[in-house]
Amino acid sequence: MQTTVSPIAYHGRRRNSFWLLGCFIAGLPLSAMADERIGQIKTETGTVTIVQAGKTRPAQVGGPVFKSDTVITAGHSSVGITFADNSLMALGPFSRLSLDQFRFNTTTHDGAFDVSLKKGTLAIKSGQIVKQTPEAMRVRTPVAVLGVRGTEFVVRADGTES
Amino acid sequence: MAKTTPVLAPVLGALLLSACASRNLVVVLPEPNGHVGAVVVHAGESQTILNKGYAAATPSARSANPLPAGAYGDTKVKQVFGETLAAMPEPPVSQDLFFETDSLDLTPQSTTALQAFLDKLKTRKAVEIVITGHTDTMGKDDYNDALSLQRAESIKSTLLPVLLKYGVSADAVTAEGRGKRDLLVATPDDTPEPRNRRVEITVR
Repeated sequence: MQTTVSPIAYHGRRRNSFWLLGCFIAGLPLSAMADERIGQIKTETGTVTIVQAGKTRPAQVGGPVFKSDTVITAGHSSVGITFADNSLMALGPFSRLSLDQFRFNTTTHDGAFDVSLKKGTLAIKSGQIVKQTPEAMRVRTPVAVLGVRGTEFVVRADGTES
Repeated sequence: MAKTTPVLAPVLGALLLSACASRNLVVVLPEPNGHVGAVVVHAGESQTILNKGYAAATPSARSANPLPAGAYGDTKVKQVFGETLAAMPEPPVSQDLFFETDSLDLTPQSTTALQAFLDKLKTRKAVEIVITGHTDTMGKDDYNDALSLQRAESIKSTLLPVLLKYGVSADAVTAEGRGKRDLLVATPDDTPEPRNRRVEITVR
């Protein structure tokens, strides 16, 4: 049991908004920054859509997910995604997940993986990024930041709080 | 929660509040192999470490709120997360492949193992294949990184026609080199070890 307090919540948020700001200042479209394929859809039930830079596309098994995608499920719907570092995720009904950050070096396994569960339910089995660097994966919810040290876990986020 | 005041309105209020707060939930699951890692929950000014199977917290804007042991078991997790967990992709599986000395020909055992491995592709959807090269500890990192990638690329070219027959698309096959970072048999540096010179094939 470690008890060191890490200021992840504050740093994380600040760095994210700087990154966004940087994109706009540079005048680059977000999609150009985000066209890196980071994972693939493996399971799907019901209605699942993906939003990238204001554009919506239907999710389909075998289809890619990219950095900065937001994955949205309707009622009685779910989706399962594998990522390049072998981490696995599943979203339950009425959920909204944004894939904020994904960096992965396939040789060293160094990287970072940040997602935000805006509402709904999420299951995660962490992969090689976390195996190499514990807490290099972070899951934000409207009230908490979860640092992942290598495990399988489930999260529910109440979308009414933010 | 059960020890709130006996006056009706505050009890109802507390119940409502606790119902709202408990919408936010984190539960660590025990893994089939018995391994449990940890999730650190940071919320408000506090944090809690969930490092046991079914350890749970109900974070709020103020605090991480760990729950007492046993608050969330298998049944409750399935009630809340059943549909979510049912959507979880199959975990990736890997197979080590070994080669005849100074050759790109698989050993007879690895040829058999590869065949059994390829049969698993039939039951999976949207298959991705990762071919990862590994070296032993002879030589420097840069050299081994390049060598392991080269070996993986070469196996990829050899296997590609076979994989295509199994319905895998060419752009779903990637090659990676890990150099000497992932030894099958732990050895000191500069140790020749044939079992470490291998290629790992992973289906995801």
